[in-house]
Amino acid sequence: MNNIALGRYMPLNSIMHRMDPRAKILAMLGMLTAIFIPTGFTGYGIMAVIIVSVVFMSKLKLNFLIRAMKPMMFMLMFLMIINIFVLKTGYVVVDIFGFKIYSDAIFQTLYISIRLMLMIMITTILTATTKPLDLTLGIEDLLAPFKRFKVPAHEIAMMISIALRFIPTLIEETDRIMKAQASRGVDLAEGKFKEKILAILSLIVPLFVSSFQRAEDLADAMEARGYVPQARRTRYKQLKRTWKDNVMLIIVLIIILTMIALAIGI
Amino acid sequence: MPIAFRQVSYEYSPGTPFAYGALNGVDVEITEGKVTAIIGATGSGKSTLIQHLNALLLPSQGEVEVLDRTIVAGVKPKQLKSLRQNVGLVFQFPEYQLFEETILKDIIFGPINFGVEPQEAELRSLHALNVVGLDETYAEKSPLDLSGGQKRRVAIAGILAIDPYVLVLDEPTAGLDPQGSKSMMNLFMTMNRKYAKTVLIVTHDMEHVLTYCDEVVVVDKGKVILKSDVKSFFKDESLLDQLNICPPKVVDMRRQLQKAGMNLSDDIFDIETLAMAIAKEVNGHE
Amino acid sequence: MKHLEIKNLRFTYDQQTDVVKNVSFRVEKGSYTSIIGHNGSGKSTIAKLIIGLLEKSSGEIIIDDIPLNEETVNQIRGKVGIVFQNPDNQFIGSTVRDDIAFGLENHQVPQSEMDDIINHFASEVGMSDYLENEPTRLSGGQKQRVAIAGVLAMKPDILILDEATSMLDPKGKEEVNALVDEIHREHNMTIISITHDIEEVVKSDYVFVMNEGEFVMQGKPHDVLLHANTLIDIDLDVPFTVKMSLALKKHGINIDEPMNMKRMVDQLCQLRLGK
Repeated sequence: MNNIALGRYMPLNSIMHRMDPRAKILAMLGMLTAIFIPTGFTGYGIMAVIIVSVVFMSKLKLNFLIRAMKPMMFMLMFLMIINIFVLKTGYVVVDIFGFKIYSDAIFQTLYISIRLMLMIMITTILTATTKPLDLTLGIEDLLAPFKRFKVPAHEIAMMISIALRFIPTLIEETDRIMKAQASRGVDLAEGKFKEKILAILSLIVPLFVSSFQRAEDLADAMEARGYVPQARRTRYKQLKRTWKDNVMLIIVLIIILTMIALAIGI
Repeated sequence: MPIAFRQVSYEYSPGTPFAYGALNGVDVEITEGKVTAIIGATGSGKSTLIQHLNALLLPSQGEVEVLDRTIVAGVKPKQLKSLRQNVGLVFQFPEYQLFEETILKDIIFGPINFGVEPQEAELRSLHALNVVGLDETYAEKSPLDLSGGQKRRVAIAGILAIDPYVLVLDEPTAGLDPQGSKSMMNLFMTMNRKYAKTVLIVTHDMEHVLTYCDEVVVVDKGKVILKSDVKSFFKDESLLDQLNICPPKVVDMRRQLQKAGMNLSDDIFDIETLAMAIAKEVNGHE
Repeated sequence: MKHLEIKNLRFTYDQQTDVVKNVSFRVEKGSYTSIIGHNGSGKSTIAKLIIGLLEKSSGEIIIDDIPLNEETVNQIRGKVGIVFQNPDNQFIGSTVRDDIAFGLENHQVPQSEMDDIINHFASEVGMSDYLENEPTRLSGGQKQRVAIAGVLAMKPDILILDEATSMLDPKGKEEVNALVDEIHREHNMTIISITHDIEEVVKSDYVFVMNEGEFVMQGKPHDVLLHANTLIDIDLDVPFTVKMSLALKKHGINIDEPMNMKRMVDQLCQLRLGK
């Protein structure tokens, strides 16, 4: 669990960590948009430089980001192989015993790969520099204007924050259940298929049953403490925007405009 | 067949910033064929200790001898299943481990996992159901239809059906009402007296220790600091004070009376005997 | 002065068995009342009925002269705080601070006032040093104390403890019981304690004994707890001191205060010297 880099929060103290989550989310969305503007490798070159500097500003290690991209590598290899067989346009890059590999195949794959890598880097910077709960608050505030369109912004945020609160508890409980069933002879390594299914059921069913009970108890406790869904509530945690956040958003806007200019061919 | 810990240490999450030494050199031999209470403050290492008995945890240092196997730190043991079968471990709030469609199917789960033939497993399971105080009509019911106390008994039956030599229970009476507690502890006494099983009970309840247990093992800060028979343990006033343990009420009262000048034997452990002794003191001065 | 009044309360799950059968009682303001009974006797159901988490089948629940119904339920929930049995399943916030804030948010307390209130009640339950802690880093007793802080922060008049200590270790039980005693004294809070622990009952002003959905006995602890046979018949335990005094009675010794061990010891010593 501790080795998963993708999506994980890194408790450091950097400028990026201190930025307002709402600004960061909007900046991320802006940057993702910029990536999809067709500017060729020049544009990507600029973006890459910007993003790498942001990485340094967040005190994240490049190593960490590379690990975040590991899950994708396999897929990109696969893509490369397919493209080599499918794309036969452009000039010939290399000829292996009569089998020709064309430039377009390579460049296409590179193009897509870089785009994906930039996307992953941007989203990883967001999740690595923002505590899950702050992210939730940011999402709640950003969705708030959509309440008039019946988007239950607050309820969504509440569900996410309660889920986050219970993740460690559920992990502990899973551990307990696994040990209890191991004491009854459950061994996930051995056994025929049917036995393995039963073994997995012996872990999942108790977890579900206790989670339902938990949910019921929790709902009772929430109601007893005066929670009324859809009713007006004040909020303890407040987010504060500073001039730095505004500057960041302006920079992102400039980047988008630059990319558009490049694409149009100015 | 002995159960012994020799210089056993255990560390959670070794090599990380979260490393935590739960056991620090445990040395103890559990007497076979008795009901032994394992007591100690929360966090003293009791849970970690008992999980070594069926190899759910392997020692970081030292060795654990259980029945015919010895588990040595650093040596990965082969074939843990026999150990799991011979030492039945019941965790706190075991009702949460039920998962099958019917009660009988749930109880059978354990024996089948250990290779017991289905017919034999079913016989054992029905027997176990009876032993915990539920009759055959429960066999086809869903575990979810039962009360908390009944579910717990089904969970315990699930371990009894495995027919282990040793029964280890982690706070088996937590959350039960007085009657439920009593029948639970009586069940364990029966497993010991009638079915000759070695029983280990982790508990905080000194009244239970006095009433149902033969020996007591005290765990403190990852070490076993004492093993004694129950009566000697409760007779040692300074020891109990040192360990910050409240003695059973009958012992407490006997002491208070003794301190106030009454001549009472130290060997008094139940209400009737105490009452008789008091009466002698009070009435005998006529 | 009556604070809470229950009249002919009835509750049934499935039209077949009555979990609560025709229960009536009153609780005086500032009193400490215990409701005891075996698991399944219906005592926890009463707690949930009082706060409207379950809908009564018939009968009346009146708090401060306000009858409980669909319109008044939120008002009643503002007056009655409840602490449940499972320390984990009522801890909503991601930290102690956030959890105490939850009730304040629901009651629309202005954000600027929240910090002071949170700090005040955290201090009252002795958890000031743990405000940033996550629930997984707290003991059961600590979690229940946070629950109490969260409830107190909403300034209820009545505090119901629904088996709040039954899942705790002895240390946790002691912490919580001591805290509840203190709250009772300092705030003159009306306390209703639902429990099956007979030793906890001894300090209450009034006891209701429940069995299979109805009250079979009620009165001051002193009166109720002496009926050893009845208590044992309905699967409850009898306090040690009562058992002791019954045993001594067989030898012709009558104890004046069979609920108090110290007084019993003193009396026995007097008897011994007196003769």
